[in-house]
Amino acid sequence: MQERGMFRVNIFGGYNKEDVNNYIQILENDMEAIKIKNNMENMELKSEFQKLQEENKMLIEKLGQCRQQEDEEQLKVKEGREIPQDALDELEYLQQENKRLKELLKNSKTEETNDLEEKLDMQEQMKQEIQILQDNKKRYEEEYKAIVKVLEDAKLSARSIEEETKKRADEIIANAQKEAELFREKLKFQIDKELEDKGIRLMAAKYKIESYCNYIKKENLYCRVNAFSALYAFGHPLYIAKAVHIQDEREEFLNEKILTEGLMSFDGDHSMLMSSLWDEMGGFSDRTQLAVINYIRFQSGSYGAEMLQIASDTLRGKEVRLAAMRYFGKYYYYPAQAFLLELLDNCTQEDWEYAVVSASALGNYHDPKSTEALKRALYSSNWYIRRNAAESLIAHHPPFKELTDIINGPDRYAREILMYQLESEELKEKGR
Amino acid sequence: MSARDFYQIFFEYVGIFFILYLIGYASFLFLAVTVGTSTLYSCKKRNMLKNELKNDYYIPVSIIVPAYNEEVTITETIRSLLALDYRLYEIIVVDDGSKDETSRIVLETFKMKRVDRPIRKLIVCQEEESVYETRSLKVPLTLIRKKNGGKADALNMGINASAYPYFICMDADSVLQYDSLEKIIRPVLEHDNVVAVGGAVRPCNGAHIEKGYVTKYKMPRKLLACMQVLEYDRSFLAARILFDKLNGSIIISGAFGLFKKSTVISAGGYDATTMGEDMELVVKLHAFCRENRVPYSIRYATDAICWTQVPEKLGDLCKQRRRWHIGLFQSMYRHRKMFLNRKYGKVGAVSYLYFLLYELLSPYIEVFGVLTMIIAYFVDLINIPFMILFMLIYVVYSSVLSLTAFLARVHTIDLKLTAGDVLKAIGLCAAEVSFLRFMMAWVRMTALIGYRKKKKNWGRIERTKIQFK
Repeated sequence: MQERGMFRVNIFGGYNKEDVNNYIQILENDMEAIKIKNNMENMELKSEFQKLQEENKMLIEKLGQCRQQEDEEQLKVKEGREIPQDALDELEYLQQENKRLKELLKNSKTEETNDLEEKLDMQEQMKQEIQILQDNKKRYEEEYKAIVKVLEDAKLSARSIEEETKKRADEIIANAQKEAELFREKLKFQIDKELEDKGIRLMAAKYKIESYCNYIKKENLYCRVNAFSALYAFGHPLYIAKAVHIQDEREEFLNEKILTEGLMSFDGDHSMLMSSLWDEMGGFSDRTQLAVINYIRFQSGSYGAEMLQIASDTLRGKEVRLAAMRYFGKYYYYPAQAFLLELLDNCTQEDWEYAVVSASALGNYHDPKSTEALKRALYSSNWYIRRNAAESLIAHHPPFKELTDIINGPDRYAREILMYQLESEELKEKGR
Repeated sequence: MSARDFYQIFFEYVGIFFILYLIGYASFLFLAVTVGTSTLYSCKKRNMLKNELKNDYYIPVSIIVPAYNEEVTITETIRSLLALDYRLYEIIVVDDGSKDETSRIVLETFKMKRVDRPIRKLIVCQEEESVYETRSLKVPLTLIRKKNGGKADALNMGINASAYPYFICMDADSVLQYDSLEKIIRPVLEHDNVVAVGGAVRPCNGAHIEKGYVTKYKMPRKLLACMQVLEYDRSFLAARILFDKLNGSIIISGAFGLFKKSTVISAGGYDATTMGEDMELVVKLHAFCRENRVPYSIRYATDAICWTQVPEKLGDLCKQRRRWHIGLFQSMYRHRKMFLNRKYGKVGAVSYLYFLLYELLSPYIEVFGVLTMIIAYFVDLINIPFMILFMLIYVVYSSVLSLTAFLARVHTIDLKLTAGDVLKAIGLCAAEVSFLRFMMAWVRMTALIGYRKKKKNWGRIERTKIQFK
C-alpha cells in the first residue's frame, strides 16, 4: 500500500494526481469503516460493562442485605442468648451462600475484567492503527500537496516553456521568413548574374570557338594544335567535328597521331563526339579518317559493324581499311572473323599488308578455324605475315603437341619464327 | 717577266681569291650565327609559351647503339637510354665483334637471355652470331652480337632488327638528355615528309648528368675540350641551323640522329665502305628523294640534346678529325653529281658548295694561305702591319661569333655559368681560332693520305666512364 511504485508517474516528474486522490479516498473509507466498527464495538462493550456493573451492584446489594441480615441475626442471638437451631442452620446456609456468591462475584469480576481489558487493549490497538492511518493520511496529504505543488509548478513551467517556445518559434519563423526573403533576393540576384555571366560566357565562348576555328586555318602547327586543345576543353562535339572538317579542308599537314591524341583528350561526351565524327566521316580525307578510326579504336568497342563496312570497302584507301581491320584485333567482333580469314588465306602478293594485319587481328579470335588459318600462314612467303601469324598463334595458347608438326616440319622459316615467338612469349612472361 | 712580277701577279690573284673566299666565309659565319642565335631564342620563347607538342601517344622509335670495344661506357649508355622520358621505344645494342667484354657486361648487367631470333636482312650486313633479349626492363632491350664489319654495318644490322618505323642511331659513348626523344620526334609530327632529323650534339666533358638531366654545367677542365665546346657551338650548331632553314643539311651526326626506316632501307642503308657513314647516309637520302621525286625534308632539332665525350688528348682529336675528313671526302666524292646540279636544288647549289669550299678544301686553302704569307714574307711582298691587323680582325671576328653562339646556346637552355667559365671561354675562343683551327687544318689536309687502309676502322679514341647517375 505504501509503495510509491503503485502510482503512475506524471510527465513532469511527480505522481499522477488521480492515483493519489484514489488512494487517499480508499484510505479515508478504510479509516471511516474502522471508526464505525470501533464505535460499534465500543458501544457493545460499554453496554456489556454497564450490565456487568449493574449485576455487580445487585450482587453487592444482595451481599449487603445478607450481611445486614446476618448482623440482625447475630444481634438477635446476642439479645436472646438463645438461638434456635433453625436460625443457626439458616445462618450457616447463608454464610455458605455468601461465600459462594463472593467467589462467584470474584470469578465473574475477573472474567469480565479480563474481557474488558482485552477489549480495551484492542480498542487501544485500533486507536493506534487509527493514529497510524491518520499519520499516513497526513503524510500522503502532504505528499499529495507536494505532488500537487510539483504538478502545478510543472504546469507553470510547461506553460512558461510553451509561451517561451511559442515566442521563440514566432521569432524563428519571422527570422526565417526574413532570411528566406533575403535568400530569395540573393538567389534571384545570383541567377540573374549567372544568367548574365552565362550569356556573356556563351557569347565569349561562341566568339572564342569562332576564333579557334579561324586559328585552325592558320599555317602554324602550334597555333592549330593549341586551338584544337582549347576546343577539346570546351567539350562540344559538334564544334570539334566542325574544326576537324576545317583542318581537313586545309592543305597544312596535321599528323594523324596529334589529331587522334587530341580527340582522346576531349573533355565532353566521347560517345557523342564519335557519333558526330562518324556522321562527317564521308567528307574527311583518308588521313583524317585514319585519325578518327584510331581514336574510336582507343575509345569504344561498339563500332564493329561500321568498321567491318569500312574494312571491306575496296574503294577506300588502304591505310583506312587497315586501320579499320586493326580494330578487330582490339575488340572481338564475330562477323569480322570470316572476313579476316578470307583476307589471310586469299590475299594477293600486292595486298600483303591486309594479310599481315589479318594475321595480327586473328590473335583475338581463339577458335580452331583461326588457329588453323594462322598455322597455314606460318608457311607464307612473306616475312611479316609469318611473324604476325606466329605471334597471334602463340596468343591462342595452343597445346605444344599442336605445334609439333611445324616445329618438326621441313619449313625452316616457319619453325624459326614460331620458336622465336615462343621464346619471346616466355621472356615477356618472365618480365611480367 | 721577272720573278718578282710573277710573284706580284700571283699574290694579286691569291689576294683576290682570299678576299672573296673570306668574304664568303665571314658572311656565311655571320649569317649562320645570327640565324642560329635567333632560332635558339625563338625556340626558348616557344617553350616558355608552352607551345609544345606534349604527346602520350608517341611515335614508336628503335634506338640503335652500335658498339665496338665499349666495355667502359656501354652499361651507363644503356642505363641513360632506359631513363628517357618517352613511352614507346626499344633499344638495340649491336656488338660489332668487340674484342673486349662489351657483350658479357651487357648480358650480365641486364640479365639477358639468348633467343633464336630470325632477322630479316632488308639491308646487307654481316651475319649475326647470337641474339639476346630481355623484357624485364622498362622497354625491350636486344643485344645482337655479330662479326666485325664497321660502324655502318652494325647500324645496318640494327635497322634490320628494329621493329619500329623510325630509328635513332647513336654512339655507345653518348648520353641522351631525358627529353631528347620527344624533341627529336617533334619535326616528324610537324611535317609529314621528314625522313631524317639531326640532334644537337654537345660535349659532356664538364657536365654532370643525373637521370638524363644536366644538374651542373661548367667548362671542361682540359683546355682542348674547352676549345672544342666553343668550336661545336660556332661551326656545328649555328651552321646546321642555317642549313636546316634551307632544307640543305647534309650532315647528321652519327652520335644522335633520327631516320625514317622505310626511306633509309629504300636508299640502301648505311654504306659500310665509307668512314663517314653518317654524312654519306644523309647525302644519299637527299639524292634518293630528289631522284625519285619523293617529297622530303631533313631537319635539325636544336633542343634534342645528346651529350658526348669530346677527345681530351690531341692525338685522339687528330684521329677523330682525320676520320671525319675522310668521311666528308668519301661522301662528297661519291655524290659529286650533286655539285651545282639543278636537279638537287639548294643541296647541290648551296650545301654541297659550302662543304666543298669551306669544309673539304678549307684545310688546303688555309695551309696554302699560310704558305703564301710565308713566301710573300721571304720575297718581301707583304705588308706586315696590315697582315697582323688582318689576322687580328680575323681572330676578333671569329672569336666574337664563337662567343655569341656559345653564350646564346648556354643562355637559351638555362645553363648557369660561373664568371670563371665565361672568362675561360673568352680567352680560349681566340686560342681556338688562332691555333687549334690551323692545327686541325693541317691534320685534315693530311687525312686523305692512306685512308683506304682504314675503311673498317672504328676510329677509337680513349674513353672515360660517363658519370651518369
